Amino acid sequence: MTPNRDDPVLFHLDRRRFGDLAQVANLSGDYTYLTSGYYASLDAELAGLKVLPTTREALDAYVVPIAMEKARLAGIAVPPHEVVTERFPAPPILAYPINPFSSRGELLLDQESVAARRKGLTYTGKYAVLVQQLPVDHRIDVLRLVMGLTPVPEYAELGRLLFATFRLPLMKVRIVVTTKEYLLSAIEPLPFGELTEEDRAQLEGMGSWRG
Amino acid sequence: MARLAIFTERYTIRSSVELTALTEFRLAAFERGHELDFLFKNELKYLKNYDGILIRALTDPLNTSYVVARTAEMLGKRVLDHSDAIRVCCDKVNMYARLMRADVPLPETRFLAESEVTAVSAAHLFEELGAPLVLKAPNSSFSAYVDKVATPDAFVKVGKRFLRRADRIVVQQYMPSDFDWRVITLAGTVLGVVRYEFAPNQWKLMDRTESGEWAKVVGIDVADASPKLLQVALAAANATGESLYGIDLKEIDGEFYVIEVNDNPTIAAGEEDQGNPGIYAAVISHLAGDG
Repeated sequence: MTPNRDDPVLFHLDRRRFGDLAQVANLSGDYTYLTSGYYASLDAELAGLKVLPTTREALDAYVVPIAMEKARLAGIAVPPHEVVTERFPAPPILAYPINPFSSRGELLLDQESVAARRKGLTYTGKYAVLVQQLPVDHRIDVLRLVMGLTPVPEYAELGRLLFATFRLPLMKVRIVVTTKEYLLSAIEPLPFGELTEEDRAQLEGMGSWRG
Repeated sequence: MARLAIFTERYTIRSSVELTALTEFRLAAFERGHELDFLFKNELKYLKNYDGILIRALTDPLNTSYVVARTAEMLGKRVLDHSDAIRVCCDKVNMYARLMRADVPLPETRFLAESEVTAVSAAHLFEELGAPLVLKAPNSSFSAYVDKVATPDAFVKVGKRFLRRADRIVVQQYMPSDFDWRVITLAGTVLGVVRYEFAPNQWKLMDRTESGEWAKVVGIDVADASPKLLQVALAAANATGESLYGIDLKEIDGEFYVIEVNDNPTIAAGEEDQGNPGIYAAVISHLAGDG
């Protein structure tokens, strides 16, 4: 399925399948604050449409410290984490800056990388960083979700829960896999243009590009 | 007795009058039998210990202040600013769209996406709205990324520069004046009124003259303010939400036009509180849930 314009567009959800969940899904896939994808959701909200995601939901998902709290309240496991400015916990850690200029997470595996990146990540202590502590024995998976669906069976249940909680039609999810469990690390943009044929096929029967 | 906290940041306390205002908030809390702590960004894990949180720090949906607002809301705490207020007011596209939807009087306003920032559309807009025009990046604050342009070339040049910050820009009819009204409201009530008198021959509050003259803040008793001013300000606040707002308005021939609705309005000792000494107690009582 392809959108009828180049711009991010609203996908009209099939009422029989989705009920009151929402009328339209913004399939831009990148809902970053102040981008055209974000504004597509804002326009829909202001037009009185029930849209996935709302601008609040977009920020809840992408601002990692908020996502951590929202996940915790929904029963989704997250790594031990805290907001710091100067004192970083012992590596290995994942560090997500909290400022208007960059949100890219950085994996810091040893004390040397922490020392080298501390000032850059905090703009010399001016901004905070969300730090997640990882067990030494871990792996990081990147999960692609289309309306909560993934072809990977081991992630089917978590995918549904992430979609129910965060309500982003398209998401790239960074998961920390430990010997015991799957931990949500961060939710990132999955632009529509990056969807594979298989990803797009998930949308079949969910609705249409025209209302 | 409520446990309250003021979330603040070292670098956002720009002046001693703002610091004095923080202690005024604390005194107002103590006088009402409440506790009040200051909370800094590396102490957010203790948010859960408080009943109400007042944010006195630079706000932006991508800053820690927004994390404080959303976390407090998710934990069922009272918080000012509301996260909705930060999200709406920090993005001028969102803010003006809500004012327009509610028919609040404001200068003629248009939003342009990248493909629309062209010399042709600029020429149309000059014809329709007059010259000069004011261009604003959605996330400008303290009048940075706000510029007056008088030609299509300048329009495109400034517009493209602002598009580096966001995928839309705001274009507005220019309304000259020597001062702005600022009305501070909370949950549909006016807490204070001041006049921001610009430095001579300046058009933005944060501009100063070559000799270093800044804008002056003149306090007005709410009871003496024009009812029409308060009515338009409250209409703007209600179009935006129920948080703590500072609404800027221009007065032209007895009519009032909203220039901006600000979340997290400055409340500085000897300035915004001049005609309205009860402003601290009003904010604290709201946060504490005093009846």
